[in-house]
Amino acid sequence: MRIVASLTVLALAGGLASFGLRSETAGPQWQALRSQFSDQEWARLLRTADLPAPSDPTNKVFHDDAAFRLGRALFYEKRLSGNGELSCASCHDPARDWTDGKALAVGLAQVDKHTPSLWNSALNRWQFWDGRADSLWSQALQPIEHPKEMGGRREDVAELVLTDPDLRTLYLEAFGPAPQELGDPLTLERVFVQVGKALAAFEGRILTAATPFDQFVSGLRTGDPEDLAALDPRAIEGAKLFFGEARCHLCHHGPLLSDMEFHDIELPRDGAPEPARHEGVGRLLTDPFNGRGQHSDDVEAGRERLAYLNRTPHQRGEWKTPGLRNVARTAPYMHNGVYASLDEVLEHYSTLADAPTRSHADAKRVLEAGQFDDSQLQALKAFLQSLSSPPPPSELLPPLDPDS
Amino acid sequence: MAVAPRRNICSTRRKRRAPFRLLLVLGALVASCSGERQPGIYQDGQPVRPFTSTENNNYQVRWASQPHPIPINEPFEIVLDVLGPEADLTLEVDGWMPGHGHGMVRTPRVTPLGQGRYQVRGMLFHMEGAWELRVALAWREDQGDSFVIQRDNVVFEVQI
Repeated sequence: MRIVASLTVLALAGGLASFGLRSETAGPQWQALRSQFSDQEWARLLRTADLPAPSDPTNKVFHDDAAFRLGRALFYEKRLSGNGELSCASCHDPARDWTDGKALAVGLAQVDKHTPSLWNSALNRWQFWDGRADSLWSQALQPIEHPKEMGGRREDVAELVLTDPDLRTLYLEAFGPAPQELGDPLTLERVFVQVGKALAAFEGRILTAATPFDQFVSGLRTGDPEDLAALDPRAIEGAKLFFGEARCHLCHHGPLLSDMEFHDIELPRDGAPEPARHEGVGRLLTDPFNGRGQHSDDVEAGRERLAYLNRTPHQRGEWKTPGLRNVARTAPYMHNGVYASLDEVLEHYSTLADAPTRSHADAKRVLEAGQFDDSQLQALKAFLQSLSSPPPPSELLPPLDPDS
Repeated sequence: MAVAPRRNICSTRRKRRAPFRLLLVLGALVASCSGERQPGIYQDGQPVRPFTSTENNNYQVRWASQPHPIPINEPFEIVLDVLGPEADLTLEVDGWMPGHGHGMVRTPRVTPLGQGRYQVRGMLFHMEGAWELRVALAWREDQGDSFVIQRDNVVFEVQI
């Protein structure tokens, strides 16, 4: 019995040490919280800390300040579009947390996808809802030329960047000497790709700052009472549900609260599942601007990204798991904007009342109706609201009022 | 024991001649006894896991991940040791979540390293939970002027 007791003490001390605390310094507030969560829930909570720094070896100017300045100018530049009235910011509005507040995006015409927020997009493993791009720079090029989005032409974009005095100055600072002419297709493509890489250098800095939830998790690590008080009891209850019984963490885990992969969460739809990730993989592998293509700055790294991708019929109906940071400010929700509020999202997961017929027999094993009561729904919502970070810093806002 | 799925599987082959059949077994045993420290398969001087027989007892397989333990939603590699009769062996590896009804989002690649050892790259367990590491083996068995393909498999349970 004495041996067992000693081992228990050692185990407890070891456990506390692994959380960055010594038993004698862990206050009653921390002890009370620790007792609320199982070991697994606790570990899941701690794994949400430390948002990683983004990087992209296929884009050598990803961290470059001059490329960032060019990218910022281009991001707010309406002349990239076919009608001269749309910029990237038209849909990814910094005042709306880098989205547009609409169910479905509207460029030159309505698009069949909801505009995803750009918060932390540089940390995504794949870009777009179907993951058809493997880098921010290759992603940024597609909306510019999409006929329903910006409807621009790469010839016009390259011409603009090399001839507009302000943009040319920024281009020269970022990429050095400019080509004298754009007649050669490869030269034209290279300048167009540089536009994408500069945009990625800008978008790569759209990173969320610490949230009340992060402060709380920091408190779990250090025992700091002020940090532990960052969440109210309802949000803590929501966190316990999220990382425990409700099983939200299965897909929404880690610092992004996303597994960065693709799932069918049985959203309402008409007919068969859309091609979704199945098509996305196909497009990614044939994209001339993917990471293993001739415009990549690290072909080997690009090959490694794509080397193990599989493409199966199972991927139909599967869309990318979005990160949840700032989720409370980025309604509507889902790839098709089908839910207008967090309440509707939580109702879906609670009841699956609007789910279509199971797409495959095994799907029910993953997604079961949570059957949350009102108190649990409010707790989950409070937790999601605790993931809101401060608004974008001024360096990410338009350098000048485009209309002035 | 579950049969390894044919979907989402990659394979590689190793070819050896009959006189070297015993080498496979002996080589691995010698490596084990001589204290060889191949990355991944040993930790603190001991094999991470013991050998496990395949379903039909044709081969014995052990494995270790690199890094160890397997991180959630981060790429990792596997080192496999295979003991048994020498053959024209094809090795296939996959990950599967029996409780979820889906496998990995990747197709790993298997590279023979010699002496019954294999490296598996491209592994990714993107979700927490119970996984199965499925290893399927196939080999050609000559029968006079014809041959048949023999199969066996082993499934390792992995909790992530």
